Amino acid sequence: MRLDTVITLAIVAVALAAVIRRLMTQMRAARTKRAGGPGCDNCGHG
Amino acid sequence: MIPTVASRGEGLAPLRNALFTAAALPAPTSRFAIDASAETSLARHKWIGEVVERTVTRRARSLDTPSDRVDAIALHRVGGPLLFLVIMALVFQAVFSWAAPLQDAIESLVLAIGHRVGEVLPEGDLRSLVVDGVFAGVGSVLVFLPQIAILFGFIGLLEQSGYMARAAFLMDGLMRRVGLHGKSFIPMLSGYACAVPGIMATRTIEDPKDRLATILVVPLMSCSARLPVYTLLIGTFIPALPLIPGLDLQGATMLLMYLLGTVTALAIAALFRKTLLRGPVRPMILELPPYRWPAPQSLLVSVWQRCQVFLRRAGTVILSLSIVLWALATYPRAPADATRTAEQQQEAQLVHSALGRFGKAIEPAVAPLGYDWKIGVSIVASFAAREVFVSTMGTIYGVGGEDDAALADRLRTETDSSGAPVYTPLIAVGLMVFYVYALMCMSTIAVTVREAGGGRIGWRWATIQFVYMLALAYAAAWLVLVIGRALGFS
Repeated sequence: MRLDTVITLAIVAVALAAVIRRLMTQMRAARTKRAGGPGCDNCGHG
Repeated sequence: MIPTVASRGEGLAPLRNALFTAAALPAPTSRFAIDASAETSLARHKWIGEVVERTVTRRARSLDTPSDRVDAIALHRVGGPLLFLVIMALVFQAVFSWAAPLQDAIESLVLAIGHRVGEVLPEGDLRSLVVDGVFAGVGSVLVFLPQIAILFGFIGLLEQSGYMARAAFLMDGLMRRVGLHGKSFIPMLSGYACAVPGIMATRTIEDPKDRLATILVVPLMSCSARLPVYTLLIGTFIPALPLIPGLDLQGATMLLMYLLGTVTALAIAALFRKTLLRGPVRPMILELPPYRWPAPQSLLVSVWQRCQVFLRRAGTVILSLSIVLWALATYPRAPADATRTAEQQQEAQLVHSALGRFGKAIEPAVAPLGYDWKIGVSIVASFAAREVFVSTMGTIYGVGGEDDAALADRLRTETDSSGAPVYTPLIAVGLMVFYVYALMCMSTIAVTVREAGGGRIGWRWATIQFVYMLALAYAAAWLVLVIGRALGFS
């Protein structure tokens, strides 16, 4: 496999992990009742 | 009592001194125990009024202060709402007119850097990832930074000048008529920035039914994440025809989208208050501050904070999703065919990719709205964040196109297999209406679940919210297309 393909796939894997992490964070926020939770990365609130 | 102005730091030294000596002061009596209900507030204000009447000597009060003179127009039954509409129209017009040169400059810069990086990197997957994924995806969203800055500059100006409190007063009567508490105005106003703090701001509403009705409609207010979608589509497909001095068709279309969301939010709230969430309407007490000149420093700080949030999103959520979507649009590789031109090969690659296959699978669902699979995929991807619609379009057209033209130019020239344009002004308006109504935001769903009670109850309300908004979006976009075609628009 070419080096640039390996680097590309590694970057994609990191990005995919970030997307999954965000999804998990949102699910956890939904489970947390009222106060607390990680809040929103759109506006920084919460 | 120590007067302070938090935004300017005035009165902080006396306040600090008072806090140091506060321990020696007598404890408050139970008369002032916190009870936030409107009835108690009214009783408390009545008592304060009686005490003030007995103890304070005043000069005859003139109704001719500058604030009173402005309020005679700003709070007028007819003139007030008209003035509000004029101000909002000017704001949205400025978003287009003032941002255009800055937007062009950022667009040229992003294209130039992308082109330069493309020249330096050798031909291959990594080059495609950087140019077609990162630059085409993130770059297409970054160009909307000037619009965000201008919109929030104006909102800050209106807030700090004291006008926003007058807008709340004007809205209170309307909101009471649809069955919403006056306190719902602040969450709904916050919804223009982002539905998440808007929904969280409903905690100030005591009545659970009032609160739930507000939570269910806050996401209908057009948040800042919709701005790149509106701006891309209006800037690309709506001509800048002058309507009246100071307002052209582009600014008017933008104003219309914001009004559409707001009016629908009030109508839906009325519907909920008459069906699922029936209950009495409570009064609101609102203090109108005097008009004052905004402090430039705090205005700049608030605009900078909004820009930071936008840039942080572009560098995190949008960047990672652009990379993932690039991978989905690039793999699996289509077999090379020597008979195809480079452009045909790229289009075949896009259709052969995982994203293309997914897009083709969902195409029947969006076809009645006049959308092709690329728009369908972009809508689904924007569930992570609405701006991702723009970055996904950037990535799809980056992977599927040969030259490095700006996204708006690609959309204008895109044709289907029969040679007909995929995007028309009518499709663009339908798509904007879809985004006015659709709850394409997983952060909002998460916060609705939490704030509507959590657990099964929270999920139930979040599901009701998502389903009614999606149904509304689909029906409205379809109606725009059908009625538009019947009227002879393409």
